[in-house]
Amino acid sequence: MGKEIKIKEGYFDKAKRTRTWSGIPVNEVYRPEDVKGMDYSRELGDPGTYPFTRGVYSNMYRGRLWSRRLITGCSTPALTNERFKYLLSEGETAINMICDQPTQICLDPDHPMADGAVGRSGVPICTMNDMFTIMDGIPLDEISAMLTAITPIAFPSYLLLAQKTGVPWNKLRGTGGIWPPSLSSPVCMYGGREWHSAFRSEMEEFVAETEWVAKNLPLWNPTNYNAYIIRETGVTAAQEAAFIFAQVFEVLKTAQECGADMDLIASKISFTFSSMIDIFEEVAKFRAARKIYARTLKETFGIKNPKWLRMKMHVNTGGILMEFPQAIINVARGAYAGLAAVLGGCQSLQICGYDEAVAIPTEEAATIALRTEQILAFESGVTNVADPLGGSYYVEALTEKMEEEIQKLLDEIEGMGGLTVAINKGWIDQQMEKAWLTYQKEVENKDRVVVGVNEFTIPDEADRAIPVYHHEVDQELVQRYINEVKELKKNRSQQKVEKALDNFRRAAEKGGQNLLPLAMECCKAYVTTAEARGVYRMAKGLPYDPYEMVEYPFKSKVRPKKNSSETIQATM
Amino acid sequence: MADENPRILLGKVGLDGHDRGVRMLATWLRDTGMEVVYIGTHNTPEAAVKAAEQEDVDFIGLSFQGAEHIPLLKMVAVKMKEAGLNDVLLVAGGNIPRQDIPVLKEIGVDAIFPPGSPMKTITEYFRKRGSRKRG
Repeated sequence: MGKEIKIKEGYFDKAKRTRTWSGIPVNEVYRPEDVKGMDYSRELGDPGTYPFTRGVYSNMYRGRLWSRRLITGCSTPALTNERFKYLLSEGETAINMICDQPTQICLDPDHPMADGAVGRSGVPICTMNDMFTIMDGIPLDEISAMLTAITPIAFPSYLLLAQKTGVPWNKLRGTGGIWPPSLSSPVCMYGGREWHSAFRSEMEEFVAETEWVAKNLPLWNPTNYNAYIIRETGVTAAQEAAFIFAQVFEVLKTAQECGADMDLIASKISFTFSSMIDIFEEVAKFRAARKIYARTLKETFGIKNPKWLRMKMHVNTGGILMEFPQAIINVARGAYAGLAAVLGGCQSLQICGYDEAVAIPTEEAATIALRTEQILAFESGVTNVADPLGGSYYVEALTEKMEEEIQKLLDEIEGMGGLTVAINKGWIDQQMEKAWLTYQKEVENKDRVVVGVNEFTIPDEADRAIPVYHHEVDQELVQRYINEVKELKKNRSQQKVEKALDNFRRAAEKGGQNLLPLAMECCKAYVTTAEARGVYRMAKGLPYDPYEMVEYPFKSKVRPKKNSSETIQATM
Repeated sequence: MADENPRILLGKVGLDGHDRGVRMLATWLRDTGMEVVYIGTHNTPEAAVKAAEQEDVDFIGLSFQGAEHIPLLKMVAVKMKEAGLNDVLLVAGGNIPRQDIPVLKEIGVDAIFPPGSPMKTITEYFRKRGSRKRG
């Protein structure tokens, strides 16, 4: 039996929700009085001028389009290399590398817990060789690379590959590699789990490393603050911006206390934001965020060079936006969210594959996402004018409202004594919990329509099955990869490995040092991700293996210092 | 007895950290008056089963995202048997393809809630199944 046809009801359908995605109530219409008293040069300014509300460059996309940068991580380094080359040949202009779960939490593929997880939701990077394979044949002096892996092996391997292929480091362009203690990471979606006890000592290392990168890789932004992951917990647009800023400001405050050159630290910051489907709200968020960022860096942290007041961002369209039922319609969702990002002035964009709800994109899903970006870039006309929505009564009023909400949250966190306190008190968790519970209740009560989920649904059996990358994974190839790692571990010079690890550990114990050169020495000796991270953990008073299933494999056994923190899980 | 509120262990095993769904469910179930023991992410199958034993729960509910549900649930089922948790039901949810449901049933998973399962459906299941220990 077919569905009941409701023509008349449908004809008189009207907009039911009168709030933004995040729940901000909005008026039926906006008028000049809604933006009365707004001082153009103070609140907005032309694009490319302080406070950068309207964008970080004067001519925006007439100067350079956003980087078309799709998330990529296939089950082995070789397959990932193939995918990169395919996407680049189809017009992708920059790359975005995602690692599998074991790599993300710094376990090797032969760890007992990694069984079944290797190459599942990203590419494994265990040794220098993996990075070499992933980037094989891709000219490092031409590509802008985003390394989302926070491992002691990934970024140093990339630097070594540049050396090997004769590319000077000052030609390398990219993002990521070193991170300060972080509220958000690719593995931990929930508030504060990555926030460690060793904050101060890690901050000192971070400052030293940033200084080193600034000197040696002027085109590289080693620190990418990930607001996207925060948004993925289901929080509001204002919370997304406020929570990431709270983190950045806490890091900057600590850097200041460490006596860092603040202009230099600020020069190396970039962001990843989410873009959801409420176009105007997202645009308002991006505009308000740029303004607050510029103002705070100038007024609170005394950053002098206006260039470093610009909040530059990669945008990832909301993963939680992508639904499981009738997955193909996610193509439309990705397009709207991508439009919001572009209208909001992003520097780099990844539109999620329509299969985002279930996996890392298949080649087909990635291609459609890339084509969607190309349609935006070359057909839609949205690239013609900088900040095209500027001056809209609604968007300006909403930007102001968004600024107010973000600032209010920041003040609240500040009032509590900063982000660390807010996390430890469980306040961040509570905020996240409240936000997603509200969302879910709205969906289940149909106060919020999600097409294909609570309205316009079809029976499961009629739903087109999504081709899923996971099911395409060739287990034989993965097993071969794991065997290769095991072989490599056996055949390398154990003496060199041990020596490199010892030096790395000692420097980490001492604290406050730039560890990158020593990490590169580890890479050269074929130290693995888990080994380097393991000795680092030991240096910080944690067990070698977060699961305590694997023993430190070398004879110079070092007894881990007693861990003072309760959050062992935090430092995975 | 159906009206007896069950005690439910919720969390994740394995390396995946996507916990929005399971956290949301924990809050939702607590909201409806059920007792939830939330064990967080990155647990070993052994640790999850041990927690279930110690907490004397009626259900072990595990959430998955990274496509490792089959090997991990197998391990959990084995550990449950070893621990003699015969009156505890194993439940799974999250990013589980529908074609895997028969395999999971075979392993001994009592109920599977694939993507798109409303919280209300899951709540109803727990309430209907109730507590076999205390009922």
